[in-house]
Amino acid sequence: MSWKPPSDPVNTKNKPIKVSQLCELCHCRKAILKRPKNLQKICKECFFHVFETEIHNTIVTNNLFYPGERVAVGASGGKDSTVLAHIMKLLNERYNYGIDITLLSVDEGIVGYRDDSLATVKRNQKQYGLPLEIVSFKELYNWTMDEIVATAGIRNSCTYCGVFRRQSLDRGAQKLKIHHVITGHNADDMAETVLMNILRGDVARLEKSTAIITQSSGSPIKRSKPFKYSYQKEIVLYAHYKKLDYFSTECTYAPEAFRGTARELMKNLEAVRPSCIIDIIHSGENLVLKEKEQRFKKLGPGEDPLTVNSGFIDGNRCERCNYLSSNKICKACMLLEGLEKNRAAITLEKDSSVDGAARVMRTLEHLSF
Amino acid sequence: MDGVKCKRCKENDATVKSRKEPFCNKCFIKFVSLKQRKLMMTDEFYRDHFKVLYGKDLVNDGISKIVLPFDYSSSSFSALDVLVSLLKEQRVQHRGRIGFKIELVTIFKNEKELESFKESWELLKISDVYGADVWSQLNAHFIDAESFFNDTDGLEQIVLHNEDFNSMGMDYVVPAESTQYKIESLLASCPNRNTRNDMWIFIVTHLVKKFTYQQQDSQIILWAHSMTKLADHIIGLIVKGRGAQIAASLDSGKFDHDYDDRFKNLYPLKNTLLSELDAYCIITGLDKYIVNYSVRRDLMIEQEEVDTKTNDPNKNVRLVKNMTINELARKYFDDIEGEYSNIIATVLRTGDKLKPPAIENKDCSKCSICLNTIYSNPSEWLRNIAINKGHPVETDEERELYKLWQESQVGIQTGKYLKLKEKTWSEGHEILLCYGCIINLNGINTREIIWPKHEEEELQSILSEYELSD
Ligand code: SF4
Ligand SMILES: [Zn+2]
Ligand SMILES: [Zn+2]
Ligand SMILES: [Zn+2]
Ligand SMILES: [Zn+2]
Repeated sequence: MSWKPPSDPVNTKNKPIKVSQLCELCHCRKAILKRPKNLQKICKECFFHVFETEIHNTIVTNNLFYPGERVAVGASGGKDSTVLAHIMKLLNERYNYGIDITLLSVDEGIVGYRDDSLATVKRNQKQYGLPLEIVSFKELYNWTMDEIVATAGIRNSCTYCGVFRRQSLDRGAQKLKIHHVITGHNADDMAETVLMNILRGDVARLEKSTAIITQSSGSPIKRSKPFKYSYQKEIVLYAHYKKLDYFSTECTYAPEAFRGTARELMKNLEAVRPSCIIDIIHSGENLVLKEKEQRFKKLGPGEDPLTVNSGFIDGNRCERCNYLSSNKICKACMLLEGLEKNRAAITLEKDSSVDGAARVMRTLEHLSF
Repeated sequence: MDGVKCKRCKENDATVKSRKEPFCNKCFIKFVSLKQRKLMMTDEFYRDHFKVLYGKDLVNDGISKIVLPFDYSSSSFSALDVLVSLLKEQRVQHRGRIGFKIELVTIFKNEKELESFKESWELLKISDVYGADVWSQLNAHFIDAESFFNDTDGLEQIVLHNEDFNSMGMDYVVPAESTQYKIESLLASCPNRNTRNDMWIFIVTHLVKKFTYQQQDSQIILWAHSMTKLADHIIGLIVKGRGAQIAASLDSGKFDHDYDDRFKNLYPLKNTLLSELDAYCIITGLDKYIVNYSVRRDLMIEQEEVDTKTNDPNKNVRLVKNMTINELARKYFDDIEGEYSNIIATVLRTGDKLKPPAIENKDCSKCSICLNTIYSNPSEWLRNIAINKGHPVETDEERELYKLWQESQVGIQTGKYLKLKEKTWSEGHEILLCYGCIINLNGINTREIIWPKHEEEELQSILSEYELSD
């Protein structure tokens, strides 16, 4: 996470270029960076070329877009989504995808992190000339992440944050009548997830962990990840050499402990084998479970294998908030219920152990959507 | 101070602690052997091979041949020991009759290694731990790893395309000045320990399977891989882009299709941890015969506290950067063992739930290097997301630099590769490689490898064995 691009060389003007300094791809320009995938020394031009083309290829081979499609870029102001917004605009113009791009941001309510990064998104909006929509946890759920952490503790922060953000993006997109949200999830995230699912035997998620497009059945909103094969380091390098304006502070809430161990393992693996991130994704795409067939076999008469398999009843909606959900009550509402109980119970005490999170609780209000 | 009692018999003092349970020597040996025996006996096919058969027209008098790859590690010795105790038991219960005999296969790298294996084997023999009637059921075979290139039906040179990741091959003729192509040359061309290790494991596995193929009446290879090793292996396959192979590599139900359906691969130690096999060897005294491996005393309840940290050469910290993928996986398991228990077992259980993916290209093809099934088109996959073509030359200055490069050492080297590529592409034949092998080959400087042609004839070309003198 803390990886920083190399600083630009200074005082290099007028010095003759040695052959050993030449780019290993074009052999005619000075190499300035090591390509994260294979440590090839390459020049800026070649780097831009391969990075952009690989993303374009990913978009084309997976048929991510159709002409005229309206697409929302999940924009956080961080490097991934800033580069994503930049690249999408660039490729859309270069290759005529014919898509219409909007920036969509979620304000989770994390002081010192999200408020600053949102300022970045607002600058990006002007720089790229793209429309921007912001939805906030506070406005949708009447909870900020800081309040959630103060109530539920720091341990599960990412669980709450993840569930609410996913729903918020969907709600934001729906409000804009956009049916496709793209996010800046990169290859590192995906490889880490594959490893984690194997290590903790999360069979339910194993097969889907490398899907580039995900859509719950019955949901009008499709999500995709054009950076599926892009290394985090490549994204950082790209932002650096293109001098993109992004916000680089990390969220104050630490990631889940187990993910931390998988991340450490990945770091070691990558040091030994730079290609391992795409290698792991290649593996992930080829993991198929045995059980599936057996699950299909036990169908009763007239049952639809798809709905039985996922336990998902098409178009089922949450009783409370009307959001698409396989259960009577959606996950967000379930989490909210727990939170509300705690808010009532712990009164207005401050939890001083949680950095930046201890904000005075607001009054108990009912949800309004 | 009184020691802890064994939790099984509640009588003897505990000597080993495993999976949070204290055991005495006797109960621990039983615990480990039962795990292995259970996996040998649950499936009907395997049960019929191990058990004593009665009847008139039985092939070989009802005695089946079990091939046991034997690398002189704690895993090999404990697998052997459990098999031997089963044999002894059969002799007693069936008045001298037995159900199987064991062909031990050892692949050696060089003379020095062979010497240490032989020495250990002789020592074990003299020690008389097993008795003459058991020894007559054990056959030790030693095969020189060089047979991989020697006892074949010709070699070919496989070249990988630097831009589109396709590959082609040509017959390879060993240059006149050297008599044969050697493993040493292969390993020297590998860019790192990891690729070398991959190659070595493939060579050993292939030789063992080829040996078994050539044993007319042998239907089982009993691999002494511990749960720990198999978990490393699974993670290793994932990290090397070989996830599709996991299911086939753990399959013990089907005959091995790559070797003409002659035998099945059994992994009866897959529920036993490596540390348990180490403890087993310590308790039984077999640890003194172990070669090239040092047992860990982690599970032993020692009388005097031994400082395991200084005594254990395995703990010698290798720099993370010099570790192989499998070693890194092992390190990970070791490091988090305390905090998240059962990760190893979880990984194995997940591996067992996988099946091979559907084959995308119509005619099922095999990788020419590692023989694994190729499920999708890895070259095409890589072409899209690992582009190897740069930005074109644009200015005069760039043109000049390019010329400079062409005439330089690297330029000439690359030129040589390009010529070889050109020749192979015009004269050679198409070669299909799996994703993992493409990545390995791409890491080799010259993107070429000399490899035996895996055709029907290759399996027939008889492996020469090193004969043990009696
Ligand atoms: S680290 Fe966790 S809490 Fe912080 S923004 Fe990410 S998901 Fe939310
Ligand atoms: Zn270049
Ligand atoms: Zn709901
Ligand atoms: Zn006991
Ligand atoms: Zn292969």
